[in-house]
Amino acid sequence: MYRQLIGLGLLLALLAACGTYEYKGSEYPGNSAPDFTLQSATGETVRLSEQAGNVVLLFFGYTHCPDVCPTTLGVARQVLNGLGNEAARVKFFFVTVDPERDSPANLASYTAHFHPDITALTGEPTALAAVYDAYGIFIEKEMQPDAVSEYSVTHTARVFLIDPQGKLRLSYVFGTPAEDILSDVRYILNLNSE
Amino acid sequence: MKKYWLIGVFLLVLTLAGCGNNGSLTVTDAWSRSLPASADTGAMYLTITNHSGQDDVLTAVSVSVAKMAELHRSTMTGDVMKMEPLPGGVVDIPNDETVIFEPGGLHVMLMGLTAPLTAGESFSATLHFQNAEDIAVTVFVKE
Repeated sequence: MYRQLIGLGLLLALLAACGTYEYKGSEYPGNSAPDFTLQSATGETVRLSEQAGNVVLLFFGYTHCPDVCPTTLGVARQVLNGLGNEAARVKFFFVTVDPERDSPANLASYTAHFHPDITALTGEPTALAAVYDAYGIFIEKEMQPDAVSEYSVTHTARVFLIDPQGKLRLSYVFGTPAEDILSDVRYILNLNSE
Repeated sequence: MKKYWLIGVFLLVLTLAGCGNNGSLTVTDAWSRSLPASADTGAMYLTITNHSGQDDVLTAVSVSVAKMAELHRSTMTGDVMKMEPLPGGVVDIPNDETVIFEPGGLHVMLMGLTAPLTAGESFSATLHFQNAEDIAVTVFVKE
């Protein structure tokens, strides 16, 4: 009798342990992420639809950004480092919201500083505008007439997560700890492991 | 008598030895994030505690590594991050309060960087106040 009870208790405990994972980010319905075609800082064409099999983390920012963008790229570094070997299946894309000042060379050195696996993306104004629009990215120049750097760019600061099937699954508000993003990325990679 | 005199000197030395402290305002944890050498704009963060007995105002910051330094705040409305200079370009430091400059909030925007911000190095900054005397700090650059 007692053995049966213990056995039942263990079974229940195991079932409880296999509880559903709760995502840390805000969840999307899981539709296909809007595709885009942009250029890397080294001139290569990068299409979102060609990232199948990888998790893509997408962030929109600019290199003259003093606070928010370096902070987010610092988080990106922590996530990529935390992934270890699994980082090979994760792409972090940094799309410029300031193509006027963000030359490919500046973009390349900027993202490389934080982590070699962060890819800066730029493109023609119309191509960029289409991506901003597709992802609902608000962008506004704020003139800073007394400042050496002329203007700052107010922008949506979310990090988007696209899964290996190309579905837009999650996003993270500015300030989300790296561990939270890392946890979700690991979970999705494991769901999709070969 | 000699004992008390020695204790007095000891306490005086301790008080004077406080770093980044002009006796009324204390500045701690001054840091900056490292950036590539090509970066033109950076940010500096710190913590100011006011035990001076009166309200004060941080009016300006000068740094050794940039042409200009301005007081800014990042604010989030929904998902949108906006960065703006503070009204009048100053920050209130009320008496008995601690004001923290940190990512996503108050920061000293460094513009026209004249030297790269390299992790492990440091630079000097001077904080100017309405009432208190200038405070010089060492800003440590972190990764």
